[in-house]
Parts: sequence; structure tokens; C-alpha cells
Amino acid sequence: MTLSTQNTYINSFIKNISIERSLFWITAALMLVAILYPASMAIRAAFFENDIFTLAGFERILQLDTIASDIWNTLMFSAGSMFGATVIGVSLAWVNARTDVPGVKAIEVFCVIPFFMSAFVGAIAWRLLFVPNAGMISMFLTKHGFPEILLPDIYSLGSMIFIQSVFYSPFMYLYAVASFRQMDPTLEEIARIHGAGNWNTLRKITLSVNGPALLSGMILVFVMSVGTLEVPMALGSAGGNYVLSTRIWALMNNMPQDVTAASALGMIAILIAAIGIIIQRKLLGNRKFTTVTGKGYKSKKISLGRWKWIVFTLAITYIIFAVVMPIVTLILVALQKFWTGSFSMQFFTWANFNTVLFEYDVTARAIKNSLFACSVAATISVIFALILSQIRSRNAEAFMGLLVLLPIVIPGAVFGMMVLFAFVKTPIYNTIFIIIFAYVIAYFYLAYRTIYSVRLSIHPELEQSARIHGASWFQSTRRILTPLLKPGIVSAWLMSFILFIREFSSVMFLYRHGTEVMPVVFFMLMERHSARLAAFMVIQTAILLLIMVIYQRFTSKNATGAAF
Amino acid sequence: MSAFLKVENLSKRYGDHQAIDNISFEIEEKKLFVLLGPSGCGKTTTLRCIGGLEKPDNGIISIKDETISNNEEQIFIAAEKRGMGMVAQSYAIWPHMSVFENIAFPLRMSKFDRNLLASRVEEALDMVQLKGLGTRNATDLSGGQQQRVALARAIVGRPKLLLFDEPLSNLDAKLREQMRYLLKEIQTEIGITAVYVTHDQSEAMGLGDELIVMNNGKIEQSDQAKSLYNNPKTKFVGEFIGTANMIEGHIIQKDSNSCKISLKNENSEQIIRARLSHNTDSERGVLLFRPEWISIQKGNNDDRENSIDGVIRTFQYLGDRSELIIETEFADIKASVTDDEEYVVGDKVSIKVNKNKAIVF
Repeated sequence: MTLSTQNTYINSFIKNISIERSLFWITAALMLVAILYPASMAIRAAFFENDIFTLAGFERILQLDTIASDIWNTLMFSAGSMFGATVIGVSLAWVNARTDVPGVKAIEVFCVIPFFMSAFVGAIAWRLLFVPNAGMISMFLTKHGFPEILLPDIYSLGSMIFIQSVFYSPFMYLYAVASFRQMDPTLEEIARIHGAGNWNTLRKITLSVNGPALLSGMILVFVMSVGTLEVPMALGSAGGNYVLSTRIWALMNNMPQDVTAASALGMIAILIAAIGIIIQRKLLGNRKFTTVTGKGYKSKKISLGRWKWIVFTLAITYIIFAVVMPIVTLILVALQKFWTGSFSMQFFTWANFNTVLFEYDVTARAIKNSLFACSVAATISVIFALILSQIRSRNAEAFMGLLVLLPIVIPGAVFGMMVLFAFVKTPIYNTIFIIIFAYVIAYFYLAYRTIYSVRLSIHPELEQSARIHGASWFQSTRRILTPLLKPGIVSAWLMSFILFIREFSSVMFLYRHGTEVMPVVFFMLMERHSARLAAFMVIQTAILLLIMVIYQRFTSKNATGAAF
Repeated sequence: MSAFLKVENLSKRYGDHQAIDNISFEIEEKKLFVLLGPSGCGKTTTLRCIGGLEKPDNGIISIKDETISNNEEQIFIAAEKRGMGMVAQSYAIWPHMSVFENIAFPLRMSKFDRNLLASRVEEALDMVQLKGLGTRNATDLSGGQQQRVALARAIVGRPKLLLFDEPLSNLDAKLREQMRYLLKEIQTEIGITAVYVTHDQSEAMGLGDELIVMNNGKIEQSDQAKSLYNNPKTKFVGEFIGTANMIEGHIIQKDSNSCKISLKNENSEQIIRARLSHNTDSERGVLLFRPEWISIQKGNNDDRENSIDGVIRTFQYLGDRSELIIETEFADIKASVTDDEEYVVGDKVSIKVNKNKAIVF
């Protein structure tokens, strides 16, 4: 080999590296702008009116007589849901990962469904069961002499917290179950040997060791609850229990519109989320629990003995509350000509499905819009995630850590408003692409983490040897990396799609006539036609369950855990 | 002396796999007892049954005549009530606790007097030579130090029985040797009875007052290290402990404890006299001898008794001894000699097998 050919080899190598790096940094910079620009527009909207700095927005919200109760409700709702979801999710995770409860596999599948079904759908179903004078269960109970006064008030803050907890607990579940499974079971066994019973082992070892992971999950549930419109709109608004997110939405959508005040409220919501995160960081300190694992003696699951069936019953109760009851309710309601509070064969009809699928233009359009927007957004997410998971340097990883964290800490409704501000003066404003943009940015962390975790498991030598044998960066990416990443790509795409199609809070700010996606139409139908609403929700749930089945076939459960 | 720990007819099955197959043994007080065997032989399962982490399918386990597990009487004392200490292979240091809290845990669980707790933990830290590291974050320590913390935690409550589950196998060779000495020293010093599981035979022989070699869930031999090496009772033990040359042949003559075995192929036959392992009845036998149970004679030799001819294939001088591989008609034989003789690769030699040491199975 002559010196000059060697030089060309080196040159082409450097050139390839720079393609790889510049592609990374350009995409990363784009993503950062896509987050920071909307955020800056929202800050601007909160502090400027007609290009003049002002605190008028804050003054106006302070004059609202509801401001104190809105903030109080937000705090109660978010903190309550966080604890509720944690108790349910962590218990289910512990039971599934560490005990010998019967039917673990089936329980496991059902435990994650509620989150993907969306809390809005769940809340509507529960509303159909318990709405005063017309709820299926409340009517049944009062008819049989149950005192009306003891019926739960479905519109109350307590009910909101309960339903939010039930439908966000899968999130905690996924965090906890992954963490429990990764833990060296010897940590528990050694505690047992040295005198700790089941309770002490659970409290002092299992929960404490997994504390950091659980805390991360908790704070995410908190921030998501601060920003959600789902349960607050389905239940809270009707009962007069406003939270910050619903108030922001009202200020933006009701006449007279007050953009400045809405943005100022958005700043308060971000502040609450930020305080939550600061508390979490304080509690966490700089603890990172890395443990040395041994030969991996197959961990013996905790024998529950006669408690086995009690625990099993509790798990099944959860599944009935969170999955079976909502779906059955929606199906029953969907099969009625009109909904009177109880199912009657007299009013049986298939017509609602026909109407929402083919006759009613808004619903038919929404299905098309949803499928289009979610597929495009999922594809973009996966491509970006592929590019951004390429580089493994300290700088790149720190940057990506920040990049995926930012949208998570911004409450969903506030995020929707930000995106609206960013595009309001551009042609994109009236198109579905504003929704696609919101989907990609809000949930990018999921596609990224899924692909990145698969990427990490691929040894760099596999690519290096391809490069040494003459493949360019592009060739080695296409021929070596992409096939190996395929499971990650498929699961990232499907998981993104599932999260997009159920996304409610941000799109409520972003749709226009003609660009409605399915959750938006849920809202439109909510107070108008229960039976059609139910039929439409059944259709969305069916699409989601179908994709979940495909997802389950393609990936192992561990990939889901890694993504969160 | 009466037995301290008694295991009788212990069995444990996982699905189709018989992990422990009806084994019984006894341990005397203050002794270190090693369970040795290849992976999957049932040694760890046995240890876990003693600790209460596994429930046996059958059998009785008792300490000082107090039954802790008896399937027939449906007695199964929970792990936390057995008063034992354990060191695991993975160290199992709790990452959310300081070194001090890790070690104090067994004392806190047994409601140990709070005023004496700190001094007791310090004493344990001192014993494992980690004095002054109590406030450190447990996971900031090196692997070797973590293993010491695990040891301190296991002994701090003065358990009735100390369980070791391959405690040294995650350490590098040098640390492993240091820890071996420390461990033995502490065990003798505080006079504690211990059960030690390992697959490493040099660890086992160095540490164990008494050893059990296990294979396929059964006990192959229970003995002291010296006997296991010099008088293996089964072919498995002979092969598993130390290095062994094994050649198949026919037993042509036998009396109560010695025999003659004929090694034969198409070209030649050689008769070797050796000890007879008592559990052989068949005609076919296997001659087993260790690399140092021979002497090497150079060139052609008139003394043909108990000798096998061969050619030197490799020769390594190792200072305290020399190791050779000698190619013979029947097998390649590993030899170890302590003389300072020069051996040249390709030279013809004859190997004289020590008839008082070699064994036929």
C-alpha cells in the first residue's frame, strides 16, 4: 500500500466520521430549537402585550376569584394521582415481578392497557357508570334501595384523583417492574438470612433499593397530571372543579380570549412541575444505585401462601376497574339508539358504528387524520431517533439527556399552547403538520430511549469491523446496524403510534376545522351524543388494542420497560 | 463429638431436574465445611435449603438437635428466624446504605442493644480490616472491600451458622488468595461453624476442614482434603480434584486392595500394578494416576516393571517443578517431576507408575 492510498483511506474515514457527527449535531440542534422556540414564544406571550413588557397577564389571573382554588385543585389532583398511581402501579409490579401469584402473564398484559387506552376514555366510561340519575351503576344501585347520598360523586376531585390514579398507574407499573426485575434478588435474600421478614425486606430493601427509579416514575406522573386535560375535562369541568390546565384551555378558547393570562397561568403550571422536579432531585441526591450481579441464580419468587388468592383477586379487581368495566360500558352504550342510563334491547342498534365510520363527516375525517398524523409522526420520530442514537460520546449523551428531558417537564396542555404560539403566524398553523410536530416533540424520548437501548446492546466492534473491511458509514449503517436495530425500530414505531393516537391534552390547542384527530372529536361529542361518542371510543380502543397485540408479538416486555 | 448441623435424606427437585438427590451429612461445631462440585451439582441448592431460601422436597435439617426443616412434620423455619449469616457471590451489598448501616442491619433486625451497636459494628469492621470506612457509601468501595463488608455483615450478629455461596469467585486471583486467608483466620478466631460452597478445588482444599464432593445431586465423597486427593473413592472425584491421567484397560488379576491392569492396543500390551478402588467388580477398569505419581527414566531401561514407554512432546521448566507431556501408545500422559534433569523434546523415556499410589476404578 502506498502512502497516497493510505491517505485517501484516512481521508475518507475522516469524511465519513464528519458526516455522522454533523448529521447528529444538526438533528440535535433542530430538535432543541423545536423545543426552545415554542417555549420562548410562550414566555414572550406571558410577559409581552403588543411588544411591550407587562405583568398584566399575571395581574389578571390574580384577580380571578378562582385562581387559588385552581392552584389548590391542581396540587391536590397531581399529588393525589401521583401517590394513587404509585400505590397501584408499584403493588402490581411487585406482585408480578417478585411473587408467585397465579396467571402472572395475563395480569401483566392487562396492567399496561389502561394507560394506552387513555384516561379520557376511561373517565368518560366511568362517567357513564356513575353520572347522577343516568349512570348505569348509580341507577342500578338506587333502584335497589342504595341510599343516593352514599353514591360517589363522579365529578368530585376525589373521583378525578381515583380515575387519574387508575389510568396512570401503568406508567408507574412499567417503571417499577423494570427496576424490580433488574435488581439482584440476592439483596433481598441476604436481608432474609440476616433476620428481616417479608415486610422489613420489602420496606428496607426492595422499595429502598428501587427508590430512585420509583421516584423518577412518580415525578413523571406528577408532571403529566399537572398538564393533563383528560380527566379534568371529562369530569372536572362538568363538576366545576377546574385545574390550571382546564383554566388555560378555557382562557384560550372561550370568549373573550386572553392569551396573556393563559400564558401566565402556563408559567405557574411549569413552576409547579419544576418544584416537583426539584423536590425529586433533592430526595434523590446523587445516589445512583449500581450493583454487582453474580451468576444470576434464578431468583426464587416470594411464596404468598394462602395470600396468593387474595392478591390475585386484588389484581383482577384492578383489571376489572381499569380495563373490563370501561370497555364493556362503552360497548353497551355504543349499541344503543340513545343512552338512557341503562341498557335495553328495545334500543339495540349497530347504527352508531355506521354513523361514526361513514356518515358523520367529522368522525370519518378524524379517523383518517389520526391514522395519517400518527404514522407520519411515528416515522419521523424513528428516523430522528436512529440518527441521534448513533453517537456515543459524553457530550452527545449529556446533550441528548437534556433534549429528551425538556418536553417531559413541560405540562402537556402548556406544551400544546406553546406549539400553537410558535406556529400561529406560519402556514403550518392551519394544517395537520402542527399536530404532527407536537406528537414528535412531546414523545420523542420514547422512540429515542427504545432505539438507544437496543443500540447500546450492539457491540461497536460489529460496525468497526464493517468499516475496516471497506464499508462506508452509510453502508455499515444500512447493512449492519439497521438489521440489528430492526426490533428496536419496530417497537419504537408502534409504541410512538399508540401514544400519539391517544394524545389529548396538546392537540386540544392545535386542531382547526378539517384537522381534527380522534381525541378532539371525543371532546366534541362528549356533551352531545353519548352513544356515538361511545361507538367512536370503541373504534379507537379497538385500533389501539390491535396495535398492542402486534407490539406484543414483535417485542419482549423488557423493551417497554427500557423505553420508559 | 456430636454433630452440630445435621442434614438427613435431603432432596429437592426443579421440574425434571433432581437438584439434590437424597443426601445426608453432618458437620461438627466450629469447623469449616466445604461443598465442592461442578456447576449444577446441587451444592448451592443444598446451601440454600440450609439457609431457608429454598424449601426442600424431603428430608430433615437440624442444628444442635433443633429441627429447622422437616418435611414429614411440616416444619419449615423461615430464613429470617434461623439466626444465620451469609456471604453471597454477588456481595449483595445494599447500595442505598452506608457501610456502617449494611453491617448494622442484622443487629437492628435482632433488636440488638442500641448502645452497644456502634462498637459491635466497629469491631466487625476492624476484623475485616476496613477500620474507619463505616461512613463511606457502600457502592463506592472496590469489589474486594465490598466482599469484606459482606463478611463483616455476616459475622456481626454472631450467627449460629455462617453460609458462604462462592464468595470469592467474583474477585481477581490475587485478592481471592488474600481473602481466603482472612476468611479462614476470622472463622477460626470467632469459632463459628461455616458451610462453604465453591467449584474451585484449590479454594476448597485450602479452606475446608472437611469437604464434600457433589455431582448430579449426590455426594461422591466426604473426606478431608488430603484423602480426597490421594484416595479418591470414585473416578469423578479423582478427576475433579487435581490433575489426573486416566487410561482404560482390562483388570487381569485382583485381590482385596491391589490389582493388575492390562493396557492394550494393536501393537503392544503393558501390565500395570496399582491399588484397586473397592467399588470395582467389572472386567474393564480405568487406571488413574496423578502427574507426580510417576518417575521418568531416560533412554531404554531394563527395569520394565510398571513402566510405559513414550516420547517427550512438551517440556516446561517451572522452577519448583517441571511439567511434561509424554506421548505413549495408550494416551498422552501429563508428568510432573521435581528433579533438575534436562529433558529434551523428542527424547525417548519410560514412565514408571508408582504402584502404591495409582488407582484402578
